[in-house]
Amino acid sequence: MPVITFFQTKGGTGKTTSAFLLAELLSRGNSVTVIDADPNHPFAEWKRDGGEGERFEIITEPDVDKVPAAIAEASGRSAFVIVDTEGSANQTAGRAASMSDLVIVTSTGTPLDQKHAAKAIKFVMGVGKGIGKTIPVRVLMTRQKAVGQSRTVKAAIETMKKHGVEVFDSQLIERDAFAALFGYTTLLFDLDPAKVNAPDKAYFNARVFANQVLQALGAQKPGETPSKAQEAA
Amino acid sequence: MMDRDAIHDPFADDGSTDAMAASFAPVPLTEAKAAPAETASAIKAADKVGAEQGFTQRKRKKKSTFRRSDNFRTGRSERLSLKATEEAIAQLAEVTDTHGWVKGQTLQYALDALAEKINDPQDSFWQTHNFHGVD
Repeated sequence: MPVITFFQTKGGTGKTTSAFLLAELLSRGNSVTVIDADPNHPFAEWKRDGGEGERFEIITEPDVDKVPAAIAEASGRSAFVIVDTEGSANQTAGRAASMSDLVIVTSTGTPLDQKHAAKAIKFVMGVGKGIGKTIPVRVLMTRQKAVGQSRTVKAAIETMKKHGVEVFDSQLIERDAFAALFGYTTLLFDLDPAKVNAPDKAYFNARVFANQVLQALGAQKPGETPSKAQEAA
Repeated sequence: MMDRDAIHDPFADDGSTDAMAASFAPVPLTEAKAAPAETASAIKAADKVGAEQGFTQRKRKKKSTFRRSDNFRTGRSERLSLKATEEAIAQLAEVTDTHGWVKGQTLQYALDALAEKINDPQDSFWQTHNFHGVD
């Protein structure tokens, strides 16, 4: 049931890759629907270009008027609804974020990404204020270096924490295997390990990320309603 | 936290992650399909905040009225009056109708084709046509 929206008003921050990894990882344990709300249709293209074996459903819906119904209907079919949005300040993404149980804002940590991350977070907070409810929002640092962390990224994380912005401990590293998802149109775990560098590290990275998203959502105990579990979390 | 060795094995059971993922469930279909007031107010709030922050709408605006000039810009706006044989007029109509063209279009194609012939005096066309004076 939880609706997880990847939201950033700037493109190229790793929203689609992160959404794809989360969809793949969560679909190993439960039903997942991906709402591909990006007009570039990256999920549909992945499928069209030969992607197969996915256990998640892909719905392409970039229309601002239709996306709320698509999300609502998907939440009745699947345990998780993941919405991938276009990297721009657009209404479709805004509406999806407003209906979410968790908004994930992606950022590489560059000043421009941070500026747009702040814009996205302020948007979510503004909507929350408008409806008298806090919409959980967390920042995921993406495309990070495997070794060492630049001062810019360190400063970016410190600034966010200083402002009370929640940041995932897990970061997505700039991995060959992640780029290969769309390059070879494959699932991460179906990827030919010979084609990329250190796939095991990518598996580890993706699993920790998915685990942290689940922790953020709060796992439901048997018989508990989704809302109660999320309140408890 | 997960066992690191198991994590490195792509076929290993995900353990805690899978168990946590499995603990979620879809909402009842009746609840999901209904348009709850909460969703409507969230969308309204999103649109309001979006408008304040300059969010754009990707949806293409539909034109309210259809104007012929929006789609037809042929440049053929002058009238032509000429005398021709009945056969030539019938042939013009036939070629035009067969291809779903308009007469001005057929005339343009005919002129283009003729220009090619004129540029090639050796073309067999000139064995049956004589344009010296009145044909």
